[in-house]
Amino acid sequence: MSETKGLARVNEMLSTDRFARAKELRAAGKHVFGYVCCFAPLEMLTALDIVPVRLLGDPNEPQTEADKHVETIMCSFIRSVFDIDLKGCFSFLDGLVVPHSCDSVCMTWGIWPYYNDSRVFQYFLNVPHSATETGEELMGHALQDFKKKLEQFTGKALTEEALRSAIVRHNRQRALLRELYDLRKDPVPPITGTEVKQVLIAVMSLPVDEGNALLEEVLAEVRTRASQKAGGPRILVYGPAMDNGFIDLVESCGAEVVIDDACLGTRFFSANVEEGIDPYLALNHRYLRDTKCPRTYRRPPEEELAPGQTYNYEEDVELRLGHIAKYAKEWKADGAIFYVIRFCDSHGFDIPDARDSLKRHGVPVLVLEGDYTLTKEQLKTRIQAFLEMLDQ
Amino acid sequence: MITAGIDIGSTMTKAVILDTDQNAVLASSIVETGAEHRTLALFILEDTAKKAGLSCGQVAFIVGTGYGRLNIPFADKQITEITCHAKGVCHLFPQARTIIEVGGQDSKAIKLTEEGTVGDFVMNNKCAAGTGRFLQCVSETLEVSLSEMNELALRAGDAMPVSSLCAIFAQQEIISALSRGTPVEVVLAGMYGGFARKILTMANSLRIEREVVLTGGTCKHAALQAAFRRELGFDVLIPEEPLLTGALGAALLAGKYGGRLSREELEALQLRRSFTSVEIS
Amino acid sequence: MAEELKNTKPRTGAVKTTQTCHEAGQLIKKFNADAVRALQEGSPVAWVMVSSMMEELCAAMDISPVFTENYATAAASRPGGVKMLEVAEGDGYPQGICSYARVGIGHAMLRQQCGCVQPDWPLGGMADPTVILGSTNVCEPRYKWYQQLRRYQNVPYFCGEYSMMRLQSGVDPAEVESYVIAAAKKEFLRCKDFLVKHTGRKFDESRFMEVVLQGERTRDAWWKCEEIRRAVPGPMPFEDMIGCFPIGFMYSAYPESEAFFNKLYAELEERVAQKKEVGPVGEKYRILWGWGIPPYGYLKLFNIMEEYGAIPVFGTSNTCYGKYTHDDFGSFTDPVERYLVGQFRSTNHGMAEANAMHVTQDVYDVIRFAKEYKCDGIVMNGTPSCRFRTIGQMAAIEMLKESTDIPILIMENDMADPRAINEAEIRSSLESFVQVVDTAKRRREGN
Repeated sequence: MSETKGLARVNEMLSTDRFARAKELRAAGKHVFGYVCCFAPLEMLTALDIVPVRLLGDPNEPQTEADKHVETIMCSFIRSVFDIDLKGCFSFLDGLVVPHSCDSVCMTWGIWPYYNDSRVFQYFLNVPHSATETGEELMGHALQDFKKKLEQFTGKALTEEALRSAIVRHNRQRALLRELYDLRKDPVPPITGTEVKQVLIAVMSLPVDEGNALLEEVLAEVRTRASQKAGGPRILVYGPAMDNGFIDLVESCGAEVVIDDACLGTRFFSANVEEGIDPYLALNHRYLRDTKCPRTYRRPPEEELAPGQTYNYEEDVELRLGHIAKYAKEWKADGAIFYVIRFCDSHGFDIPDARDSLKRHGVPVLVLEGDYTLTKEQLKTRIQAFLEMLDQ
Repeated sequence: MITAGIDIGSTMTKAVILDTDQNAVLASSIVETGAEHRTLALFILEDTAKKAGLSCGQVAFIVGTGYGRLNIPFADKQITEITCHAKGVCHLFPQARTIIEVGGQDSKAIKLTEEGTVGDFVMNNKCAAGTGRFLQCVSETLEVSLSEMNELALRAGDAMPVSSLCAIFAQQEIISALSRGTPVEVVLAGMYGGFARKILTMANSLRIEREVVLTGGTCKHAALQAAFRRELGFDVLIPEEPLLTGALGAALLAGKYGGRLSREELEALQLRRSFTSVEIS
Repeated sequence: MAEELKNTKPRTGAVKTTQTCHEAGQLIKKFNADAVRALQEGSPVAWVMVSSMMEELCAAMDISPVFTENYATAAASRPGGVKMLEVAEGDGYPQGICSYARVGIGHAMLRQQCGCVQPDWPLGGMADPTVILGSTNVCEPRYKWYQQLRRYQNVPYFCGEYSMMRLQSGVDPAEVESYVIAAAKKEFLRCKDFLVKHTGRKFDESRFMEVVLQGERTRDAWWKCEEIRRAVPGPMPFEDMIGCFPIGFMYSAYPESEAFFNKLYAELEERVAQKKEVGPVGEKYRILWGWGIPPYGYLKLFNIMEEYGAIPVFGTSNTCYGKYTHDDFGSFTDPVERYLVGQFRSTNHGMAEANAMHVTQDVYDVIRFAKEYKCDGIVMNGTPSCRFRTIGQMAAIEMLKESTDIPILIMENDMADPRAINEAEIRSSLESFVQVVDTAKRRREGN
């Protein structure tokens, strides 16, 4: 276990091996499972004393293994995860949990076990696409099936008590992350967007209690230190991934990334798992209904609508995307920058509405599209021109 | 105040020296960019200053722009070509609302606000289609000079635009058409049509509004101008020297930022600026 | 749009072989005309995604369906299709997303601009919908596209949650069938309630049972035609079936569709009896169209194959949705359950075998059809804007090499974006591929 604390620990993890602790635990006999996206119910893993670690790609690694086996016309983020998995980066894991997030993830799952069946536990979580009654019903079955398979694997029962305890601890993590993000509302935030991203990655590489302890150290440290930047335009970033250095790039152009709507960001922790109700129903709601990812279909209630009448489109957009403008307002963003990964259908279809919704709220938007690996010079010109626009 | 704007593009480097008090361009230069940006930037500044009857040291504020803007060590500020082109075009054509710039290796569309500032923009530099490089490739493949291509296409007038998204596919489409016996004038007119269309598809996301100004070296091709007019259904404005709008805008912005400084601050800036004289072969 | 019609390019569609197949286009035109007439008469029209558990429901409730995915395939080879793509992209939809959706969204945007569809649009445009029915079954564009349509057209939207009707690798259909069907049935009835509310049409269970049975008969008639194509020489090339299968796939609820396939079967029977060959040089090589949506903007590629004697005797593009198993559904008295179980089992017909072989169902289909149809080569097409029908083809080749040594070609051309089709490359790669197929065949036959 490392001796360093707080941001120094974060730095150490990210500059050496963020999985060092996870590997230590695995060597000591603990189960360590990797997961992608924000739909795997981490509480169920924690309840069985399985350490969940979030899998990310490596934007600096040429996807040479993926190039041999899978097409390019797909999300380059999950392609990178697949690529580095084949290169052994996740060989320490004894389990893999892949939810049905989107087509790229789903189709990669289709071939993944063929190329790497070294893990004893490989599971596809059938998260339905709709935050509706039927979706909830199917999600319930998916969670029960997951429970059954986990119990078979571990040889232990997943007790309600253990699950409720795990929920409390993961909710604590979400609360701590929200506190961290609240600090960024300050006129001169004491922590940069780049640092926050690093903290998130570090926390997602540790068991929940250790992650919570790290967050408490970080919070204590950040609250008392001097501000980190002279200030610059306050930016909201939107899009999938975001662990690939995009936030760093935006900040290197002189901006301050103060808030996001991203998978490696608010989508991970914005809503709690409700305590005090049936835990599986609570997990169901948190992961399917409350994760604001564009892959999930949702709509305003329509029972009260008259025949031929449909809810107005603005109401629909507000429900699906209204949280972005709210974030921009609360964190006083001067502008928003989208970075949508090429071939992402989930985000791609949402671009016009997400963009226009922000514009309607007076937030200028720069829409960028590209691969997981950034073409930095080209992006810099666009980002800089946008910041100049905000400065006019 | 005497200001300078230097625009290092991927193909051509341009400089403008401006007297902001007289609102007059004193001199300008256009040279080919090569690989060595830093020596080129100094060379073009010296050359342009000489034409204006000045020395480099007399320039109060220098703005660098373009692809190579980070390689102008003596520039007092670097600003993107988007902002600079917008400024330059707006200066020449106050009624402009949409700018379409076709460069050597990229193309852009810029929407101007009523105040003449950048309202929105979109760029393509992912591939050759819709850039000067594409025309260069076609010229090499057909072994026809760029000016001849232009002449031939103008003869044909209306033609079915080449549809491919990709420069390589488009070239193949052109070759196939020629091998089928389609006259070369018609094929080239179709090429320019497809070219304009590709750029307009990108620009359409900004909601094109008149007046539309074309800039960038590539738009000197009359056949391309005609293609844009045809695709848009209305006339477009073209600066006398389309290559210089970026450098002009940079020089104008140099006036804006230099104007915020006191005389002492400007003098200190000039003193601090270091021009290392390097021989260019 | 008029200047689009000055098309100096040669035609890109396929020349068909069977006579009956020419009637397929007429029949589909008739179904679309029925939708237009319905609209004029004030009757409801629904825009529907294929294989969405809703086509038969519409038929049973006398709601005319319009299949927007099918429209995009028609637009792909006609002037005006590209315009729709460009218009959609102009609103910010990236080029990488589903080209069917971009055509559909472009259509909606143009319709909003013009006030109504225009006669010079491909097929005269699509009749305005009373309701739109999307589905989470199969892929994401199928529910996101319709969500976006409402940005341009205010129309009630029901999105059916059916994402488990088509299972992922490793899942045992028998293990999940009961709860998937239970949930699907509730969703189906919610859709029914939605349609009752917004169209005023009634749902009659016995009428629906009639439609379900008609659907089964039509699909059986369709599959008889597919199965007779095993004959050597193959009586019907894939480009013909591309024109026909929409009738079985989308319009199975109508008796005209069953009659169509019976007529087709009769023609194929005769062709088999007379050993009639396809193509200008006859059948030298039998090719399986193993995977991928064909590039609708250049179906001529099949004729090019045939120029070299390579006949696409069978194609798997839609087998995963269309084929009913030969299970006996007689035990299901509830028509909704009968219908849904039929859909579920046909969609996942090869899952058990695929799981046992540790391959995906798509790969399993290629293996078995290559054998059943005695194929000498396999052609696949990756479509850049479709994840669902492209990802896994390269892996499939590696999996296939473990059980077959027949040559495989992958091309990359989009299904409904003609700008992303490379015609010159198609010809040269097919020509080279046929040579490879020839060499492999001679080696297999010991020459």
